[in-house]
Amino acid sequence: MEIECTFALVENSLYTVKFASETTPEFRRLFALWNDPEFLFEFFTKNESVLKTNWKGISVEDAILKTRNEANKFRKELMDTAKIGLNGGSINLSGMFHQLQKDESITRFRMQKKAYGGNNSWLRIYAIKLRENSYIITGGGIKLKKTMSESGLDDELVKINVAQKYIAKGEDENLEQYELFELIPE
Amino acid sequence: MNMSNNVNKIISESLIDSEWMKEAEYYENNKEWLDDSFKIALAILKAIKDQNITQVILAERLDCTKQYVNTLVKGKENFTIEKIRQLEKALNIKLMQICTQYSNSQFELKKELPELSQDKVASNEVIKTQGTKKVISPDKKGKLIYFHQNHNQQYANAM
Repeated sequence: MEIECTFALVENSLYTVKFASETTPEFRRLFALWNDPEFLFEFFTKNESVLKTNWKGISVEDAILKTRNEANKFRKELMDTAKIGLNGGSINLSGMFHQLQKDESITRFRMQKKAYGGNNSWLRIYAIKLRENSYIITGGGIKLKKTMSESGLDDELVKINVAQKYIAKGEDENLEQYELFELIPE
Repeated sequence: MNMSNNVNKIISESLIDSEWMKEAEYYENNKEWLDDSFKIALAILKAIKDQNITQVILAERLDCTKQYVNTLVKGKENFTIEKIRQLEKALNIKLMQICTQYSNSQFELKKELPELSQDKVASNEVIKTQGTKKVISPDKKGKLIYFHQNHNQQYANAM
């Protein structure tokens, strides 16, 4: 897995990687998927049993509509925030991101703080903090279970690691200093 | 190169992606019909699964290509009324109901009927007349049938 280049979504605030194997940068790729009926139908049909056990038996159709609605609502919020920046206002994205902390197992991450209690969105966008109020999105997905691995998001862990190394540019740096964050639409 | 320089390099070398905002704006400006298109696509996908058929079979029923059917399930098609009705027929499902300004008031059950003058009734015995309304013999369920002279309509009204 190789990063081809990076893109600025909101200059000086929000960036995204583009992997060589994909045709679009990660941010747009995610929202295309979350608006794709075929992808969502296949995904939630395959995970129908998880919806029954973990999500109070929400139907496949309702799960699909919930996903799309939340994704588009979140994208609008981000767009409105970006426009503030374009018009000269200051943007603070830090409040939207929640830090991930690596657990003992390298494949397991848990949230450092539950800053968004009450939120029940299963959408996740993963990012690395570049500096104060500046993040680069590495990927994302739909997290139906407690951990990323259980939710089939192992690829996202790989992407995060590839992005850390890309930012470090192969230098002998401690990759741990590139903190990991996740964005959860509320 | 330390972290700060690496970050500065990433930021300075990043290309601008403004497409995401255009896509977001397009959705917000066309939300209503895009939401409808998405729901229709979902209904098609569900029907295909429930009937254990494929998009190829649906294409045959619609007399079109499989590629065209694939565009219909992408959630971005601006469906014509004709196409929606064709899909309903091909999949035997309901996708659309039309709301009109017309009510069915002239066909509503009436408790109080206007007076009718006596007139001949085609097949039923006239029990009595009430002004312009004719009361004919009860139907099989015991309801008295009223026949209105002017509108040639039948009202069923329980006595």
